[in-house]
Amino acid sequence: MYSQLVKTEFEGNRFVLFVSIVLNIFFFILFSIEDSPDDNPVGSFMGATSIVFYVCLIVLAIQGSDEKRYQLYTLLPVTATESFLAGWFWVLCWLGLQVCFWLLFAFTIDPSFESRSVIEIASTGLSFWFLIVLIANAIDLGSFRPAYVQWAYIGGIVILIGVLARLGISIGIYFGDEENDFFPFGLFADPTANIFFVCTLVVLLMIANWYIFTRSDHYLR
Amino acid sequence: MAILEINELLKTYGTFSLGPMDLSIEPGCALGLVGANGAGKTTLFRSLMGTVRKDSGEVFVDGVDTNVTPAIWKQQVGYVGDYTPLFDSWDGHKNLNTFSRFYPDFSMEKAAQLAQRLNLDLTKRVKTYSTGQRTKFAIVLALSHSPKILFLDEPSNGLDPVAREIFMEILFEYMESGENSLIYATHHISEIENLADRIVFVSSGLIVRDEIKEDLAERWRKLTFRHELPLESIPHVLSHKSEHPFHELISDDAAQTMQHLQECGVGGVEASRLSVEQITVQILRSSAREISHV
Repeated sequence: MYSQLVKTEFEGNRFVLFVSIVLNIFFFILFSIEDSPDDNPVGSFMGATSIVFYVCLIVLAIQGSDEKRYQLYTLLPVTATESFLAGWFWVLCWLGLQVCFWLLFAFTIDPSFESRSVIEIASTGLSFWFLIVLIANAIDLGSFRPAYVQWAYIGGIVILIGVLARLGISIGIYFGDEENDFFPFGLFADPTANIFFVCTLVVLLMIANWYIFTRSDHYLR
Repeated sequence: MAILEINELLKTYGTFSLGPMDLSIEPGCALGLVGANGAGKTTLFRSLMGTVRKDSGEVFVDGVDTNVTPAIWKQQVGYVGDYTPLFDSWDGHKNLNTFSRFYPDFSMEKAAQLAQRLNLDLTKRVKTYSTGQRTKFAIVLALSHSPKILFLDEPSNGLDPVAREIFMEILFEYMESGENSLIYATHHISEIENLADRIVFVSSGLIVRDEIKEDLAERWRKLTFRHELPLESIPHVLSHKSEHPFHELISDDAAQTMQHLQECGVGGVEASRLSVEQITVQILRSSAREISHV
């Protein structure tokens, strides 16, 4: 049943995926041929397509909420864990495709692209995953009891971001002048340590997301 | 073996609590689940289907423990709920095609026949369906995979009188084999008066009565008589109105009540039948009173 669910999830999101790919190709061509003073076409391409990615993600979230997609899946002969995995499989495939676009663009613009930059781009994808699961937890807690847990979580995240911003630590959502800003949480000087740290956070947040998702009242979705 | 067995099912929402509830349904049984608004009918179905997480309890469908076994048991269940989530941007055909993947016994032919009988256009986008058309679609979906049991939560809401009539015909056909079962929740008993052979009354999240329909009609009577002296503690009486010297009783076991009245020296008792609708009102009223006293 899992494969059927994945197939359904891809069919359900096909249009948004199509729009996302078309816009990626458009920006790919635009930033490849543009003779602009921009000295960081890779950053510009990543910035533009990141906006496309997040806007499409918001559109999908609204569509899924309108259709009560997960309530629908709950009524089908599939488990909550299968539904959770299918949803994330689709998001991660899409994110993976986005990272591939970034890498392809970077290699097209500059064939001598360094391996270090490849890691930077891949780690930006990781920071996207981190951010998505962070938001997914906040949304999924809306159908979890008791209700105050959602507000406690959102409040906690806001305070954490505020403290990190105050300390001048990048949370990987934006691109700054500093090298480390490419990495989610420029907490450590060593990029590998940062990546390992974020990987650990993503795994923990994914486990939390599974726990919340499989114990939610899905009719509230 | 029961097609559905519920043991100690409990679900609490704030101040509302469903259960603990025990219920068993044999194959071939058409069970009417009757209760006022907010009695817990929808919560029961949501708990059974998993759209809300039950706090505790066991549910067996066709002998399969739903707590232990993956959701494959849902292939034996057809469900028409208060709202049917669908892929809104797709047409009816595409929705049916998608759902058919999850049910090995799904028949597109049967789905098309049901849609035709219910006058439902499957070429239209689901987004444009009215409430009634959405309900019709849910009915088609619920029956097209030949389930062993149907969970119907006020399914006639939004259906026009013609569609309601056809829907009842479809349900009678579904029950014809003698092997299928259904639970039909409603607060309008007249809808299931002919279909149900067993009626379960729920109030404030609890089963207050579980009756065979034939017994209800046989046992319940309205008794009227004239008696000068006050009468107290009459057995099986749910309602007692008196305007001296006239008395009007509603009894859920007329034979027992009449015997007691005879022993008290009451004569000239007139007994009249009650409709199932009248009986329902009495049961729900008296159970609401009892619960509020508790």
